[in-house]
Amino acid sequence: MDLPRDVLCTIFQKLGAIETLMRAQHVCSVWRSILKDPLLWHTIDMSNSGDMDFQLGIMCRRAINYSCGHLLHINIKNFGTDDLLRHITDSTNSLQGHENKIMASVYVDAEEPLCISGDSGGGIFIWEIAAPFRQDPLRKWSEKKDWRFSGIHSLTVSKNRSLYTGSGDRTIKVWSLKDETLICTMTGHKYVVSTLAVCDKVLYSGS
Amino acid sequence: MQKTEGEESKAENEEVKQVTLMTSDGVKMKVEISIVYEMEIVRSFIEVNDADHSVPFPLPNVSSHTLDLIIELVKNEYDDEFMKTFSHDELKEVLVAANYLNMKTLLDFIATAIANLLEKKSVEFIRNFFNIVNDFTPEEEAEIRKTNEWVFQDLDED
Repeated sequence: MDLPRDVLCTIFQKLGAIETLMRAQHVCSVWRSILKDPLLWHTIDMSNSGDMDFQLGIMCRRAINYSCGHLLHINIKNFGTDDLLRHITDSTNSLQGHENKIMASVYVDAEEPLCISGDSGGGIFIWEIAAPFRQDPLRKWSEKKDWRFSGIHSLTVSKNRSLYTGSGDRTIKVWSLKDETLICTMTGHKYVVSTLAVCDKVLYSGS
Repeated sequence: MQKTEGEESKAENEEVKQVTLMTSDGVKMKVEISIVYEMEIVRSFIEVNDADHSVPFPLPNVSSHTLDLIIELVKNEYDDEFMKTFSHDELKEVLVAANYLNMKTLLDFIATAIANLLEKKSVEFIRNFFNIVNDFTPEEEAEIRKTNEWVFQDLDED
């Protein structure tokens, strides 16, 4: 029996993104073509038990590609990575706010998961990425502009909720995520601070 | 049955109102109006026409057996245990009928049940369930297997 398209879509929604991507799209060409409808991927809920993150990342990328920029809600709990977030911001027009090129983004795996992005004009934006997905940023501010240097180049967040930004002005700035105040500015690098990482209470930076 | 006017209005107050439905295999079934109201396709018709309920409403896409199952499901307030007695064919027939009759709650219930049945099952199981022929070419199939090796692991027994 041929199932009407609407009925199939209802079943796909009940199956959820993971089952659909893992198996349903391999059933036949008709199913696969229905599954490529961006409207089915407005919401990508990849709720999972946290034991298969490698595959989830691949599947999630495919789902984001299927959404063709129409993504509105996404749940990437347990497997969010910077790469994946960059892929989301690259392939969706839903997070809008930056007036300059986005240089870096970081995923904050907190009770309320966040995405923080920095642009070439020194703008720092905080986005809520739990459903319901908001298209505008939660908060935004800028580092002090300097005509000689260009904006944020790297981002990382420590466990005590401090945000570190690596800048074109060769400094690393520490911000409080609670009230966006500048806690301190670290100097030493001779060039753009292009990468930052926090591990075991130590901040590593590269330029 | 012949009734005088007075008797009829009295009967209406006491008895549950019913609507007659005509199934695809020509069976006329009297169904309680509370159940019929869940079928948007019939409901909209009844409401607009303030209808003469004695004329059977035709359901050319629903068999009497499927309608029986649907009525029992609604009467049992969507009982999981009862639904588990359905064969795969019955599940699919109820699914398609629920869509045709535009029964939102039933469609939701039955789609969830089928999704649960298909969860963690092989692609082959899903094809068998829906009588779908695998129309991918061997090359496409090999490509899928290559790029999705892990898809075929960690499955429940069919």
